[in-house]
Amino acid sequence: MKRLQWSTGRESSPLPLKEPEDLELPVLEEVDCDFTVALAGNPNVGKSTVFNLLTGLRQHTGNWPGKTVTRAEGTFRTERYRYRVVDLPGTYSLLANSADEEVARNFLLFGSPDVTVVVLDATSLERNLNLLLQILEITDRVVVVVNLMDEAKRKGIDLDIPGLESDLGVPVVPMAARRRQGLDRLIRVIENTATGKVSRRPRPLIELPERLEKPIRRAADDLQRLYPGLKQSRWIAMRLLGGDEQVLRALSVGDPLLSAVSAGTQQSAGGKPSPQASELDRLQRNIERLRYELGPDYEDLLVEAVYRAASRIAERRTVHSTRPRHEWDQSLDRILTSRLWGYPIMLLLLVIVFWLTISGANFPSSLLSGLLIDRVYPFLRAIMGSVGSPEWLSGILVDGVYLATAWVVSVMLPPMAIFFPLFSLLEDFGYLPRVAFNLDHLFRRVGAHGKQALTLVMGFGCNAAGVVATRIIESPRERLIAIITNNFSLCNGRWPAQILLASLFIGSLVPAYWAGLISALAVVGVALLGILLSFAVSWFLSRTMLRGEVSHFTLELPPFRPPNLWQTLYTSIIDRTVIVLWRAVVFAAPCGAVIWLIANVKAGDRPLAEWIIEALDPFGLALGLNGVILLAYIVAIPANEIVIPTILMLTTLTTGLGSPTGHGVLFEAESVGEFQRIFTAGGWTLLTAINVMLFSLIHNPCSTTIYSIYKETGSRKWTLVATLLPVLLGFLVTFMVARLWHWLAPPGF
Amino acid sequence: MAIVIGILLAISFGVCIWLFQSRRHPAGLVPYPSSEQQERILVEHALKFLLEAEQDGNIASTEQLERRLGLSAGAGKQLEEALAERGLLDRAGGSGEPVLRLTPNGRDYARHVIRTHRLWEKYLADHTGLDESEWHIRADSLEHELTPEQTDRLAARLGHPTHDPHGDPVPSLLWKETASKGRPLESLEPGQGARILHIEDEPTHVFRRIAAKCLAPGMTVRLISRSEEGCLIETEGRREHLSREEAANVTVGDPLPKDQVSTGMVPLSCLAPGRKAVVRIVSRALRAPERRRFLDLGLVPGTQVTVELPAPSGDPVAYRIRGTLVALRRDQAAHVLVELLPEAA
Repeated sequence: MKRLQWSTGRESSPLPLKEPEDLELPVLEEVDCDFTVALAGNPNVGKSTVFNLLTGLRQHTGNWPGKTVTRAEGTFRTERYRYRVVDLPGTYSLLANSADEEVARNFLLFGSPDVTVVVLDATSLERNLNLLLQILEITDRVVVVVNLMDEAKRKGIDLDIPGLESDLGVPVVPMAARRRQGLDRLIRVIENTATGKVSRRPRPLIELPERLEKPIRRAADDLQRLYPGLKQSRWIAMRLLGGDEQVLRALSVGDPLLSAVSAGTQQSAGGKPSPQASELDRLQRNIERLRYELGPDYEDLLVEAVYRAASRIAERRTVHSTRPRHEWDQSLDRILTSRLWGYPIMLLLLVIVFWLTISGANFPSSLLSGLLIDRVYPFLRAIMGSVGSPEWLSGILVDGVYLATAWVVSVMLPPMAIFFPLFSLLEDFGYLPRVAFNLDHLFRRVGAHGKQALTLVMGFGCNAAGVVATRIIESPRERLIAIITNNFSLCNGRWPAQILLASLFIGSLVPAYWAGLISALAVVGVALLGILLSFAVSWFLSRTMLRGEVSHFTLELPPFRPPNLWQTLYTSIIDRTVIVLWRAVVFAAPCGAVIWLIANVKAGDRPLAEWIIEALDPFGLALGLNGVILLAYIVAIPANEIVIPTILMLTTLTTGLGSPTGHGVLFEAESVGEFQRIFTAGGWTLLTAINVMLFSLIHNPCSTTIYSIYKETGSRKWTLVATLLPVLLGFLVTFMVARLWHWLAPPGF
Repeated sequence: MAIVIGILLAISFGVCIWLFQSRRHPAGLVPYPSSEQQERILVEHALKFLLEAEQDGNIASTEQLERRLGLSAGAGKQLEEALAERGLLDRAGGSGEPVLRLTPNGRDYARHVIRTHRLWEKYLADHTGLDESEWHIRADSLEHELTPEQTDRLAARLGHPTHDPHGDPVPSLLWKETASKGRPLESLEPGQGARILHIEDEPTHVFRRIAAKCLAPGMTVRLISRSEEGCLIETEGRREHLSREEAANVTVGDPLPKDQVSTGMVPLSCLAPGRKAVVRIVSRALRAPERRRFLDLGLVPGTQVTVELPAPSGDPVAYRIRGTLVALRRDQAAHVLVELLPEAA
């Protein structure tokens, strides 16, 4: 009889069935330290503030092995000891439903920290206690930090700290980390806990319903028999009954990890031999049977029990005094989200932000370009000349690399330096989630999340920053939609081109006193078109490519808090402006070199640029553009800011007009007349201008944004989609407009 | 020339879309399985059928096999040959019709296929946004794609689930049971309540109708009345009418004592601003990713909720849950069943 044949499953399995990661004991770098401190807590409770307070600058970030979860580690010392602090990812529980929870759980269970500091939010104790109670099942070397005490005081919430301490059986340290209050006491308590000076009186806090209690106790007893040194047998039993793969595997492997755990609790099992395979087998069978009898409700019942205990403790130890402050918050909320005032307020704030950005950026922009381009640039040329460098070298370095970078910086920096801090102020205050709240119904209809409104507006500052900002959207599908459509927000770098073309070509169609208004309206129209497109593409994506992706909606409305002005300015400048600027420079520099090269390197007797333009012209004309424009967009992928200067440069190159600064050197025309002269020489018509405005809105994202998309999604496929979708759409739109134009308008227009 | 370019653009657009169609998720029906794969599919379907028959206590015949798998007259015999050759089938002789019986190997194989099918359904339910009506049909195709090792890895990834989203147990090495226990819904007396244990996923069109009424395993239902056309049930604060066909596909557990069948609950979405309530049930009809978020937020039975702030358009609404203000959309809040607290004086 033929042997039982398993035909091999498809090699390219549709499911990412990668090998379950080997249970890695998190390997920390070899740093000399006496104790290891783990820092845990919910997201947004000020855990990082505490971490920064403890470690100051002595910290570095990286990734947890095999995961994309960031990991921060640092050190601090007291008089007698050195401590290493590991900042665990912020999680709501340890049930290991996500990579974050898995990392935190693994470290606490298998990494055996000497002290675990759990940071709670004083204003939301009930919810935070969930994680703490789960941690207390694993280890009792815990120090509880109740942070944001200043917030609590403001809201009239009073906590009975000594009572909390007696309930939990571990030390509790109240802190207001933002104001550095409580730090000394925390360090003292950590030291006392690490050295064993503090007496811990852990007690069972979670009362389980009988239906769960019996099987858990059975399993825990069985475990304890096999591993006498095990202190967390109850928690491990809970996880085993929950089908936790890693704990199960640790069990079946039998030895290394669980012994490590037993050893880690510093009660050496002495000479006890490891459990027999048959005993392990029997344990596994028992557990399997218990699991099937418990059924799929297990996890729910467990979490309910933990929350019940958390409620009880929080209720007992919290005293609310109804102070007017709390009601002030509520009245403000009612106004901001009312039918009458909600939308007008939003619109007004948006207009103010944009107006401040545009008008505020003009002066610094001209200052910067005056400095970098009018002063430093000739200076650099002079130096190169005096040093005797060959023309091509100074060409590439100064005319190419330096000039392009200087251009990008002077155009990009001032608006961002204004836009982002303004945005961050609103965010800090707590207003932005209300915007998402008000607009969610619009976004829901196209399958997106209300928070996309925020990333969309952010994209008007800079698309790369908008893409990074999508981290606020937790749901994977909605996040992808926000990332892919962000490009349709008209970013800062594209405004100058839009304004220029609108005033030159559209404003000139109407009498002079209307010109300003009409060209402004044209630009606004393009921006609105971009928003409409982002809705349309969102709808399209959610119906086709992203159908079936996981999606869930949550939106938290944090309490209003007075924004910390200097801190906000500092973080928004460092986090958003400088980092994006840095990436832009990194991409713009080589781009500048390329631009100079294609204009100056000759193939045959004509510069490379001319050959390429000639090849692209037919395609360009069919789109209502031309070869020069297409080449400019290709070459200027790194930065939208230099598209117009590149077009000017290439036009003068190909039409033999002669540029004021030399071959292949970017420049900006001095007057309206000069612009018009160059554009006319290049064969531009009204159609060209309109299509360039449209294409500028609907083309591939700049390379900084592409890079950001890749870092945020971690997927080549989606980066490709995000890059190609807009440009293909752009070709389609310009093509159709050109066809329509030629069909409707008489030639010669 | 321009027209050519236009057509090329449109084609490339279309190609790109087709290329990137949800490839990540199981594509469902494999368009052109090789002949080897086709044979495997037949074999595995036959095994499933035979195991089912065994568990129902029926004796399977070649005719039934042919009918169930849609085979022509002679093909059934061929299939049995193939199965016997592989050591999966015992054809106990005797006068008249040979009796088809699975060997232990055959049973194991059959269980593997069923296990794979149910694990895939669990994956689709918990880790994708696909509709309930698509789970069964996609799992039906995917069940033939994995080896036992790959199936185990899938189970590990899902946390070794014991039941699939229809309420059927997932067979494993130690748990051989594949049928779910319980009694038909219509066996309840009017006024009695019980928990839904299982909803039959075939025929698909019936399942779709049941799913559209937001019924899922784990929910408690109370039978209000029975008639020739069907029955009326109450669950989670609403009433649903089920046809006889639909009711026949719903299996429930033993009747529960009166106090365990909660009544008087309303969906959270019905409450006006200012009302307070206590959560009693977070419906099983809510998909797993969303339930996990609710757990994170502390929205579990026993939690007190205050309705605070509607958005200008009425949806979403902000609720105060454990001290935090959280916005939920109407369709989410409809799945949270609460008990109203009396208004404060």
